[in-house]
Amino acid sequence: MVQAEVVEAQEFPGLSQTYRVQAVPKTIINGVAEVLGAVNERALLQRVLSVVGREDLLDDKAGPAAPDAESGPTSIFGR
Amino acid sequence: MPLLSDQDRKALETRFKKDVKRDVTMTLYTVRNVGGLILPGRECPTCPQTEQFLTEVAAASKHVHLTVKDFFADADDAREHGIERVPCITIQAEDDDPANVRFYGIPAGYEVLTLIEDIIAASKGTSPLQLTTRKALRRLETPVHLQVFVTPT
Repeated sequence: MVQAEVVEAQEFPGLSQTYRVQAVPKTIINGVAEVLGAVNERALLQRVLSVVGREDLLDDKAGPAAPDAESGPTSIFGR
Repeated sequence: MPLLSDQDRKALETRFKKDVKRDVTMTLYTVRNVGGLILPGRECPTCPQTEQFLTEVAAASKHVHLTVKDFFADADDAREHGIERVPCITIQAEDDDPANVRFYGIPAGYEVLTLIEDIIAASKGTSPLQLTTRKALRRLETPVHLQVFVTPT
């Protein structure tokens, strides 16, 4: 049900313009909602569920997001 | 000249050796020059470099493969897979369905790491997401389309 795409903004200026991409990362959900910046997994999930009207699927008992807010990629190149 | 430095290539080989046990195929949708001709409206400045880069990535493991398709010559295939522009990279492990991820544009900077992690996740056949997230997503009945805009850093 979920299709994710990475779009290199500079290579596709038309698409970037359509979604008013002025800073990156910027995530567009179903072409209608936007998330600015890098957010943690739970925050993104919450937003996705709200866009499709299924906030009931968010299990609140799970507690706050794990402290991985800065879930930047870990370098495989060891630097 | 290779795009991956010797140091990066060695690091990639080590990482793939450790984490890629099941075969993974990257499919690149690209535009190939026909006899040096570039047709108007079909320009793809980053396509050649993307192909070179993915060739180097695939060379880092016997389990990582690259298939190259021409966006225009293989238009039916591209349409069937929902490919809308080039260059586009998709990932698929052995007998699995294609992973629900696509890369539009040349992977550069941090996106290289995203691509590598996606190859590894596909090979393992498990999502790196938290269990609660996977549980919620599994119950979705409406398609979700995420487009993450990035620039090379």
